[in-house]
Amino acid sequence: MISLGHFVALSTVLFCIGLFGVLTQRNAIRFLISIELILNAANINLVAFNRYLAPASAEGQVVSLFVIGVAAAASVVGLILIISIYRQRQSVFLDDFNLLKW
Amino acid sequence: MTYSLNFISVELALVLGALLILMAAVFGAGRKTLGFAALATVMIAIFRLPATMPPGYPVFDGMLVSDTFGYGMRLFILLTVAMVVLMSLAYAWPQDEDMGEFYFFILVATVALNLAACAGNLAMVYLAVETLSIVSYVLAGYFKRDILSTEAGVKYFLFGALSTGLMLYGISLAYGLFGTLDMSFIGSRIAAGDAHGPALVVAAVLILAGLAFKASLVPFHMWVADVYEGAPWPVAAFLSVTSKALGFVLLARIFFSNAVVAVPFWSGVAPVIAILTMTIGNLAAFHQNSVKRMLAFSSVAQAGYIFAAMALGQAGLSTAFFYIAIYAFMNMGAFAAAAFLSPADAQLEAYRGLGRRAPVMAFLFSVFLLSLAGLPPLAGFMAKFFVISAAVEARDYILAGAVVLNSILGFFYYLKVIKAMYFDDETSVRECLVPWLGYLLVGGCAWGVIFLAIHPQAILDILALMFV
Repeated sequence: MISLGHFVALSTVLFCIGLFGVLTQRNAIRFLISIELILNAANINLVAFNRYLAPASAEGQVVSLFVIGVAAAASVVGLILIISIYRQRQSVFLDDFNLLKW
Repeated sequence: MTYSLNFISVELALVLGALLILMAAVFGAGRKTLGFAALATVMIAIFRLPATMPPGYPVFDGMLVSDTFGYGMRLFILLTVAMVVLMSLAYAWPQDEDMGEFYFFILVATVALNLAACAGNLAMVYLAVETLSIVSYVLAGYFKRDILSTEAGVKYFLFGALSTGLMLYGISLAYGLFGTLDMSFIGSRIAAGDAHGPALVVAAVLILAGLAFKASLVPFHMWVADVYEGAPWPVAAFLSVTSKALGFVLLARIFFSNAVVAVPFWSGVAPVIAILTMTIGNLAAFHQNSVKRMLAFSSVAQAGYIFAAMALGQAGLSTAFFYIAIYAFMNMGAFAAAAFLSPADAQLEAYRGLGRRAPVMAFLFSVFLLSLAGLPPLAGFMAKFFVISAAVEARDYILAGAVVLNSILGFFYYLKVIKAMYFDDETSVRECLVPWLGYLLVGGCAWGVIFLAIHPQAILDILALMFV
């Protein structure tokens, strides 16, 4: 039987993988994918908590739909910026974005 | 429903104005026309604001709250955005940039800011912050052919997406803890002692991370100097004043709701963050060779002073917002004056000798810098004085001492710029032409910095209404 604990464990693991990716990956695209993992971990949380803890309302599910939409918009803007910098530098590695000192 | 629509009529006016400006840009309206249209839109929104004055019902089922705090912050946001639009009108943009989208994005960001300022639900907080962030990424990278601006946009995006992701995960944990995202309900549950130890702390830390990014608190300040340096000057001013203020508004909304400092770790962690923020900001500003980067780190240090007041808990909240109001005048003035004095080149060398070539603007720039440093007759001193006296009253002598020491440290790098303007020989003889709108904006900010030093009561009265 799958319980709430399983969902929370899954989302925690996903969040940690995403955070690990953000901290270790130097490729802007991989960085973006890692952030998407974090957002999806939050979505799993929202939907699972909604189902198990507050089934009377659909608040968590609705919010997760919003998150999917907003994340798509953010990715579009992010990819545009990454494409734009790729055209100027021929690189998507964070270490090459060094004209402004970190 | 009618009440809710009336409440957001300010934001509806902004959306309508933004769309009209976008269409006007498509049909080839000039820069000045677009700018004045944006200014008119913000003015209409400001005049519309009193009609939405809160009788205090929940708006859209509690997604927004109509309280005096939100009302005051909406006014603050609209006024600072009006200053940003004025600055954009007077700023010498590169010839080949289109301006229609710029004003569109600024107005859309204003809508997001306004909604965030009266958010009553964590879902609303996420949506508004993310909308603001997405628009800000584009604004930071607005010069798409400029290699530095693009880099600023990418860096802002990578940091911003991460921190809003962390905040969203924190919000999802809070949903699991309380079964709702309604902030007043969560506040009353915490006040009743229903808080669940470690999970609540994790959720609070993650939400704090997202807001600390907006407010540029250590350790989420790394993007500040790079993004400000690459972004156009008016965007840097927008990020440093309006967007930063929003971080503090949401900190107040989430962590101070229902008159409780919502989480037990606040009094332990917040003073440390405050002291680190002001110290690191000041130390980093110290050896910058670019005036823009120096102002960026100075704004980090200023965020530290504001957060120091907030770290004192409920007692320091109105002091923090007093500081934010004064900070808006002096920082906007400093960014505007610096931008008008040297639009293209922000290196310190470019400012040499400007005290002789542009005496009025250079003098006003010096006034803002001295106010940021906290020289006694100016408003910046009043703001710092209130923070220090609030810390002493709360018997937090370490925090008070840190603010005093940091203020002294700050003088050195602000004076470096003034020295360059008045005492160094110029390396170029570039003409410094400022349009009258520029003098209007900078003069207005200077008036604010001097007037509020003499009559701080003007702000204190408004704050007394906001924090009832």
